[in-house]
Amino acid sequence: MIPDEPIVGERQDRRAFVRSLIAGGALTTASQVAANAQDDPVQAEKQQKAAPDPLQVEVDARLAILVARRGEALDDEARETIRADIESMVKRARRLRRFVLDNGDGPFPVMIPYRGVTE
Amino acid sequence: MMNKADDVAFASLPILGNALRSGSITSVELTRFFLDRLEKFGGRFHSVVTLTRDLALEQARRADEELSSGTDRGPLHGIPYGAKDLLATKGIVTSWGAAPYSERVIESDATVVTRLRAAGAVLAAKLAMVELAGGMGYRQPNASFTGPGLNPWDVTKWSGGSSSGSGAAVAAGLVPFAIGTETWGSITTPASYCGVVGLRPTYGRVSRAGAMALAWTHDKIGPLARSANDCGLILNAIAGADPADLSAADRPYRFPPVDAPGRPFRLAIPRNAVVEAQSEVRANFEAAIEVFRQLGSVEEVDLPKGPWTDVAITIIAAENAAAHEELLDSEDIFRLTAPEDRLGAFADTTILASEYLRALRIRGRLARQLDAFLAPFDAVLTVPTAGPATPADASHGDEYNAPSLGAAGNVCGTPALVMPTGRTKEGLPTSIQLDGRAWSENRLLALGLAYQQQTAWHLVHPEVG
Repeated sequence: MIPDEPIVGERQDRRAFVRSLIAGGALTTASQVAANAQDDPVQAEKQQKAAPDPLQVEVDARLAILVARRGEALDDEARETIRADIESMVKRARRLRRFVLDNGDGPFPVMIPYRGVTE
Repeated sequence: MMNKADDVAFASLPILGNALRSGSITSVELTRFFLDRLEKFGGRFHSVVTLTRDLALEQARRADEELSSGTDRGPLHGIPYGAKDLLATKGIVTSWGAAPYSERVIESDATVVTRLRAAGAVLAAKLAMVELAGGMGYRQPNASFTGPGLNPWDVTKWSGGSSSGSGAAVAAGLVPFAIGTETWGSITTPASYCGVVGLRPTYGRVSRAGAMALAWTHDKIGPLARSANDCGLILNAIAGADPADLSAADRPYRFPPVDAPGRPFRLAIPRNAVVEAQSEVRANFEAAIEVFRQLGSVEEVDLPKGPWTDVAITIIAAENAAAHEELLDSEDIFRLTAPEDRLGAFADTTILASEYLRALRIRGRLARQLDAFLAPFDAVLTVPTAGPATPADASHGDEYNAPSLGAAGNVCGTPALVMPTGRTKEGLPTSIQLDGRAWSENRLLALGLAYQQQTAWHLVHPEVG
């Protein structure tokens, strides 16, 4: 019996979807640019300029998840406002990724085992 | 002997306590006095959500009976107070300042309310606040279903947030003290704008059971009152471990302290701490520093560098979005008063778990860094807000950013005390902020007491009527 299988599968699908948006799109574009650069440098430069900004790709991917969940409640103006908030958030996350941590740096506050007052 | 209304309205807790014990006033008389003021002036400042008249008079009658029969519960016995309306009160509306909850009744009391009742204090009112304690990202004072919090010194100015009613009610003499909460600036800002004393205790000093959660690892509960001494007496009543809140630390707290260090204070001022502050805030800060120089050594230091703000925003945003997930999934979110609050937390729902955890992991490093910075000193002195109270009808803009340890102190859960230092030419209060190591509230309060023994800014109050 594998009761959790459908949920796990759903999670994997979501991850694959997001990764394809974030990494796949950007990687495909990068590899195309590299291949074309050997044949036609001018064309390659044009393609590079037209390549999607990875930051915007990530922002769009996160917005897509939110719209999938609450889209019916969010009109275009609301989505633009939220998109700007997401962009700030992604930039903040990128800054924090530059902070060097060790494997042993755990979350703070720390987990505290619980023992009740009963005998 | 207290004759004039102002003598009562703006009296400290010890003075009111002495009056109750000497028989010159009863708790019922005192409670009626403050209930009448809350009713008469509360609307002027948008500071009251619910007047708890019946409960208050019942509690006051009990206090009078106990005091007359020799049962003395301590310095808060028989004294009215107001609670920020995010603290649950059995049988009374607890609105969180938000329209979707404006008629919601929680059938239990917050631990803080229970402890104040045990100390004999009398709950006179639930006080107004910024909706959901500001977690949705409000950018202007009109962010509460009760209207913008207005300042008793000048009603065209804001009383600060998110404990807007707590600050205004104490400043206007509508209650002798109030309870506020802080996730980031929500006690220190209204204390500063309203010219009252505010104490943000160490994270975990006071149980949050029954208080609305904005950010579980950031939220603190503390007093707004007339003096550092009053704040200590209130903290003494509400501090301590609580099985209902596992973050409430099992550390002893006692005020007045029994172990004064018996040495001059060691104080620090961050280099260029007030360079960008408004000129009168800066001048009054410098005058206050001259007083502190008589109390101990003052040296200039550099504030520790670190991603304080990015870590604080990431943690608060992720926790707030989780704490209000059901609201964000409902149409009720669009009933909030401030338009920006209706959309403000949607983006936060897309913060990745790895990003939230990274912020928590960095916080561990920052906490050690901040403690090492604070350790040599009894307090670091800054200003809580870069300017005096801002207009009640304007956006916060950049004025809301203060050159203080606001982000660092809140992300690491260290305590802070805010006290008035003077007035501007317009008559608005200015303040100083004292930040200390975790669990050092009594050091900060001792400094506050010493400062207030040499100055009288905490005794000045607005003309209310």
